[in-house]
Amino acid sequence: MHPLQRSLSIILLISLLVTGCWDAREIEERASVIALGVDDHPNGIEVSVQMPIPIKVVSSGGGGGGESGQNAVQLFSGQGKTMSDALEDIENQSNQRLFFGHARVIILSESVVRKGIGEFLDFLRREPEIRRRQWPMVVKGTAKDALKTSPKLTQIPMEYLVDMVEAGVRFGHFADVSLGDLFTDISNPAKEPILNYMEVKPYKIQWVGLALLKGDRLVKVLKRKESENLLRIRDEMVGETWDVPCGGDQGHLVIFPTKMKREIKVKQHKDVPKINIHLTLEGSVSEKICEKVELDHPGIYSKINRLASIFMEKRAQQLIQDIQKTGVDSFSIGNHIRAHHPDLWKRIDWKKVFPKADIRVIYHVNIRRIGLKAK
Amino acid sequence: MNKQNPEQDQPISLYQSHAVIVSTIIGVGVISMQRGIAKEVGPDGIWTILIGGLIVLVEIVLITRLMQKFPGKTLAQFSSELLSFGKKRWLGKVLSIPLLVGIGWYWLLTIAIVTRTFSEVAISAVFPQTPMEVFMITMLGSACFAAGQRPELIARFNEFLMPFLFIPGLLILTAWMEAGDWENLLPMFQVTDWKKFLQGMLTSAYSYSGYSVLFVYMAYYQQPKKAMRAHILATGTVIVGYWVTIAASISIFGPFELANLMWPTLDLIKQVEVPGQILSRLESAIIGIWVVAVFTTLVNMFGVLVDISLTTFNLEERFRKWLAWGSLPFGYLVANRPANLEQLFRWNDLAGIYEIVMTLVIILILSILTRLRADKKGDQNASSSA
Repeated sequence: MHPLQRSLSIILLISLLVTGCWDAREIEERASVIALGVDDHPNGIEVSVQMPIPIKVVSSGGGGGGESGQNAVQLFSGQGKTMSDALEDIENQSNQRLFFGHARVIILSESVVRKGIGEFLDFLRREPEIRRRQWPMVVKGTAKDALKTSPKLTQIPMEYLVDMVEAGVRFGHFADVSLGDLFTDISNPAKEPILNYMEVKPYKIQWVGLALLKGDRLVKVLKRKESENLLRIRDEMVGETWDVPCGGDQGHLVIFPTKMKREIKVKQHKDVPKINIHLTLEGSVSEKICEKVELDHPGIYSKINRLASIFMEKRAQQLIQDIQKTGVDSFSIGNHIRAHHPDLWKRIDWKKVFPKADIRVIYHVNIRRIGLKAK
Repeated sequence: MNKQNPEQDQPISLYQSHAVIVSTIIGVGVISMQRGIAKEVGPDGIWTILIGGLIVLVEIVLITRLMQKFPGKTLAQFSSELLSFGKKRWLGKVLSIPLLVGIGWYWLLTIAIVTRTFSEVAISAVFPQTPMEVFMITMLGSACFAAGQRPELIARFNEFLMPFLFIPGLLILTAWMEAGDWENLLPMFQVTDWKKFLQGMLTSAYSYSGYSVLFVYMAYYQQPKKAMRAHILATGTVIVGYWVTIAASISIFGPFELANLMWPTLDLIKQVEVPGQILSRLESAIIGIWVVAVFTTLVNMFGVLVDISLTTFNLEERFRKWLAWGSLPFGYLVANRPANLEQLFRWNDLAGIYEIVMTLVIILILSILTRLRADKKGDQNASSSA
């Protein structure tokens, strides 16, 4: 090789190898954030972060040792006018620069979401370390308190929250809203975002319903029993079990839904469309506490199907009325119209039409089985 | 390796020509093209990307046809032949210079844009602290090493690296299956604004830029006569790849969110969740693979730039390396020109349209001349036989 070429190639090789050195941060040089919390503050916002203490977090295979709950983590809070400002305030307290690559949860206090979260979502969008697959949620009270809870089931408190939400989503009870979904829903003019709504209890956090947002602002909170219908209509999720009064008798039958199909039919009546939402559920009876109903009677299944459908339709209809009053289309019917009836979408202003629209929910319940007891 | 023996180099095979086209076109465009298209046409991007691909396919077919008439000759050689009248060979040289400078300028510009875009992505996505010069010089420097080789070797290099390009494709498909929402792709074909649709079509066509490297590489083909099928197949591969990328992006993010994302493909990959949390942050791995895509584009562009200079001035083979290193500072200087991302994206669009127009102009002029020459020759033959 030509000597000049040789020296050039050596320089090149070195520069190839050192590329990235400026950003090399070993794992012990990072202050990993597991969860972020955002609260109101007189000075603007208060951001709290939960960070695991490396020395106290021992892998389960290590055999004992390690501490759990709040002993395994430390909470830092910073205030500022903007998100970056508040995070810098935190960095002035911690030993290392913050690293968000492992963040899994973003907790927003109810009062912050009522004022609008658009401002600091902008930071989360710009920051490359923030992943789109993490769980944003609204909490009653302050986010700081939520970060202070000390559940005993997992070593790092917020891991518990992540597990809980993931399980809830898997079984179709919670809203499947990741940070990316929240961004997407806010961007889409035909959609309104929803978020899971939590309440802090001693040593635990409880899912209590859904927060309905208009753009980036909270407008309504749904209770647990109201949420299931919203999730069925919006996201085609199975939802929770429900009690059906056994016709005329005291007591209840409990329906456990296992499979769910949603169909939205839009009929155009001049300017106000008529919308029929068909929900077809398959399920089983998981509990019966009525004396008179015997589940081995011929024709009893179709009777239960009818009872269950009528009962649930009433509840769904009530929910639709309530939500139409707020004027926020949390059911995402607007997105369905945009996608499947573009002509109608262009003709009407859905945001104005939605409160007046004639929306019907029709349940088709199919009981398949009744568990191990025959009667 | 240092002592080149041209006789030993195998000419470019059909598969290698396939690899050259695929890896030249797939470069930096694939990481950000969705945003512009979604902004202009929304869900109709899945159509405009196909139409844009067809526009490019037509250009590739035209280049192939033209080059097939001059087997073994690069643009520099046959254009000067065509443009010289009678015995005045120097005239042909002089007349061909505007064409060569025109297309050469495009290549240099693309080298700069590709280098700069790559550095910008790397900095904004994974290496925020690393100075941009480091990325640019390393990228350009290593591309120079490869570009100082003969085109046959560069083609072999492409052949070796092309399979890596399919890995992100698989991941994008996975993301689509995991997180795609069909409602986002609807409503299909709702053209309300034809001007915007046309613009979206052009933006789609720009994202396929780079095909003009055929003006040089085709001269080194083993079987230029059979190249047409390989070229169409290669363009088809790229169109399918791009279509999957854009359809997956629209389906996952929706057209509205897509217009908000700086580097949509990066976010697309971030969406993929590998079970078991073995690799939780795939984007660094993907940037690693994407370096290959960018690198092959750079090398191929650099290669043609060097080769065309070499053949224009009839230089000896040993100057090839020096030409490559000599053009590095120019690439670096041009890459430093755009002041910010906004300007860089504008340059990218301008370069895209410049290539389409410049290639068409070259094809038109040279095809007409070829036809005229053929007629003249036919006349001469006719008169001589008479």
